[in-house]
Formats: sequence, C-alpha cells, structure tokens
Amino acid sequence: MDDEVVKTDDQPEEALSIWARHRYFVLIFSTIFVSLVLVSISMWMYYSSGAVQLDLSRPGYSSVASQVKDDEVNFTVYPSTGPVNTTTINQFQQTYDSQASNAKAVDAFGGDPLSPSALGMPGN
Amino acid sequence: MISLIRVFGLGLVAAVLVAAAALTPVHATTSADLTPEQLNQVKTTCLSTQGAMRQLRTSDALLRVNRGQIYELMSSKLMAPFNTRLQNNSLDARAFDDTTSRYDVTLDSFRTDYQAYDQQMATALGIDCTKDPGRFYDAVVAARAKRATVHEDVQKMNGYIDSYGQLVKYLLSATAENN
Repeated sequence: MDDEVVKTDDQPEEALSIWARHRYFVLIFSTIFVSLVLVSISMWMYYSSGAVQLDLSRPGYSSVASQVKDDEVNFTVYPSTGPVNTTTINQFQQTYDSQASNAKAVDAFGGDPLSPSALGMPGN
Repeated sequence: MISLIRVFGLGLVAAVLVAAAALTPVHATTSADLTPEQLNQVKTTCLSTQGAMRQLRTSDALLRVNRGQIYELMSSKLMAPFNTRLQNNSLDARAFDDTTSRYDVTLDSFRTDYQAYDQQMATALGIDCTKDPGRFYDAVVAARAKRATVHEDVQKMNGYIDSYGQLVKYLLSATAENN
C-alpha cells in the first residue's frame, strides 16, 4: 500500500523535474520566438503599408530628411459648422485657392528622368 | 441652382478624366529590341546609371513625403469640412462630395502607385547590371512607366483640385445672385 503511494507520487514529481530542469531554456526560447513573430509582423506591416517610403530616417535618405516640410502647421482646418453665405464662401475660397496653388506649385513626378536619353542608355 | 452645380461638377470631372486619358504613355523599347552593341552600351554605363537612379529615388522620396502631405491635407482639412458644412446647412453637396471622393480615390492610387514605383526602382537597383544588362534595362523601362503613372495621378489630383475650386466659385456666384 505504501509502495503504491510512493509510485503514484513519483510520476508527477518526475514530470515536474523535467520542466524544472528546462524551464529557463523554454522561457528564453519562447520569448525569442514570440519576439521574432512580432517583429516579423511589424516589419511586414511597415513594408506593405507604404510606411517605409515615408520613412526618411532610413540609411541613404538622411541627406534629405532635414528638407521635410511640416505643412500641417500652415493648414488650418476649415470649420465644418457655421452658416453658408457669400462671406463664409469667400473666406473658404481664399484659403482654398492659396492652398490649391501651393499643392500645384510643383509638377511632382513630372519630366522624364528615367528616359533612356536622360540616363544615357539606348532606346526611346 | 444646386442641380446646375451638380451638372457643372460632372462636366469638370469629365474634363479631368479626358485630360488624364490624354497622358497615356507611349510604347517604350525593351531589351529584346536592343542590338548586342546597345546591350553592351547599357552594360558599360549602367553603374553610373544606377548612381543617377539612386539620387532620383532619394529626391522622389522627399517629394512623396512633402507633396503627399499637402494632397492629404487638401482633402481632410478643406474639402471634407466644407462638404460637411454644406450638408449641415441643408444644401445639396453632391457635386462637392463627388469631386472629393474622386480626389480621395486618386490619392489612394497615388499612394499605391508610388509604392509600386519605389519597389520597381529597388528592383532595378538590386540587379547586377554588369552581368545582366538586359534585365536591368527592362527594370528601368518598367520603373519609368510606373513613375509616369504616379505623375498621371498627380495630374488627376490637380484636375480635381481645380474642379473643386470651380465649384466653390460657382456656388459663390449663385449665392450672391440669390441674395
């Protein structure tokens, strides 16, 4: 009877001792694994969302990073509440026209700098 | 008056679409069209070409950040609140909403098209052009086409900005007449 009690108690103790022996390894390994999964997900989101193209702190872009303009400061939100009359439309028009001319001031991505002639390559 | 604004708005949108269609890129040469001498020329000059492309990629990234910010603010801080204000005053803002949503769709295209262009540039710059000049040439041709698409998006957005401005002008004159 005593022997039986010792036998049944030994089995969980043995299982616990295996876990106890490897728990730091399992803890470290699982932490690294979870970190790798989370980093992979965030890197995937970073690349797939297009955030990478907006990140000028990347290597190779530091020369232009200082030239980023914060246009949000100059942009005042037009109030979405209030009357609509000639005065308010006039006010909006002035703001809109000035920002519109700012938006169109540069022919962004115009020209053809990748044309074979611009790059000194054959072809048209 | 309001339905006239709507007709006017649709006319402006049609004008933008016609103008954008006129910007369809022309057929470009591919590496298959090149003679062995021309391919050799690509091979000998490609390292300096890649240097120029790297500089272009950097300046385009800055352009993307600065221009993209303005394009986004035009919609979020001016068009959308003005449309809401028209609706709050029980005015028919459909022409304004329509132009704004077309603008927003084009802005989304601008983002994705720029992403595709930048990835294509990365592909072209990642090719060992001295070993594979043909593949490099084709990658540059593809990048050129994708850059042209980004430019089309910009042109379309500029068109919608103009259309919206015209709608405001029209609304102003119609409101002044009614008073």
